[in-house]
Amino acid sequence: MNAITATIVGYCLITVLLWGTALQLFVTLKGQKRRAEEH
Amino acid sequence: MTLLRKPVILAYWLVAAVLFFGTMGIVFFWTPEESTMGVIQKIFYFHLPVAINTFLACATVFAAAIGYLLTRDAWWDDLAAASAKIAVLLATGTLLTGMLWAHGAWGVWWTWSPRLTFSFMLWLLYVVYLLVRSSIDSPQRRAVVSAVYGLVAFLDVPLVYLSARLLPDIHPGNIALAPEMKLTLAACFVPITLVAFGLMLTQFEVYRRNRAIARQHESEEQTHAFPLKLKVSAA
Repeated sequence: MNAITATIVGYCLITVLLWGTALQLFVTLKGQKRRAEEH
Repeated sequence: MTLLRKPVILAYWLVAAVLFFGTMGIVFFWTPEESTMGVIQKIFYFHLPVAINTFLACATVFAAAIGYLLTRDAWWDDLAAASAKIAVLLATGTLLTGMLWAHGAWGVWWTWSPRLTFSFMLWLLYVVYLLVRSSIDSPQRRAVVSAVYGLVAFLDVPLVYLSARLLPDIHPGNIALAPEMKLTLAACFVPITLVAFGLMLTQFEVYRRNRAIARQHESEEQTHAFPLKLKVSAA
C-alpha cells in the first residue's frame, strides 16, 4: 500500500468509525422514542 | 434527547460535521508535507486527537466509577458504561490509524514497543470492561463490579502516556512541527473532541432510556402481579 492510499484509508477509517457510530446511535434513539410512543 | 432540544442537537452535529470535513480538507490541501516521512505523516493530525480523546473517555469512566461508588446512583453507572463504549471505539481508531502510519514510516504494521503494547492493553482492558458488564445480570452487582474495574483499568492511561517518554521506544514522544502543522493539529482537535463528546452524550442518553424502559416494565409487571397475589392469598 503506498503512502497516499494509506493516508486516505486512515481518514476514511476514522470517518466511518465515528460517523457510523453516530448514525447507529441516532437510529437506536429513534427506535426507543417510537417504542415509547407506541407503548 | 431529554436534556437538550432537537434544534440545538442538530446544530451541534452540523457544526461538528462541517469542522470535521473542513479540517480534513485543511490537512490534505493546505498543510505542508513533513520532509522525512512524507504524506503518511498527515495521519498524525487525526491520530493524536483521537488518542487524546480516548484518554478523556477513560478518565470519564474513572470519574464516573468514583461517582457511583460514593453515591450508588445509577446515573454514574450509565455515564461510565457510555464512556467505556466510546473509549473502545476511539482506541480502535487510534490503533488502526497508528498501524497505517507505522507501516508507512517504519515498514511494519505492528511492533511490541512499550507505547504500542500499553495502547493495545488499554483497548483490551475496556473491551473486557464491556464484556464484564454484559456478563452480570444483577444491575447493582454489575454497577459495583464495573466501577471497581473502571478504577483499576484507568491505571494503564498514564502508562501509555509516559511509556514513550520514559522508556526507549520507536514511537515518537514529541514531534517538532512547523507553525502550519501546529495550527492544523490544533484545528483537528476541535471536531474530533466535538464528535467524541457528542457520541458519549448520545450513548449516555440511550442507556438512560434503556434504564427508564426497564423500570417501567418492572413496575408494570408488579402492578399486574399484585392483584393475582391478592387472589391467591384470599383463596
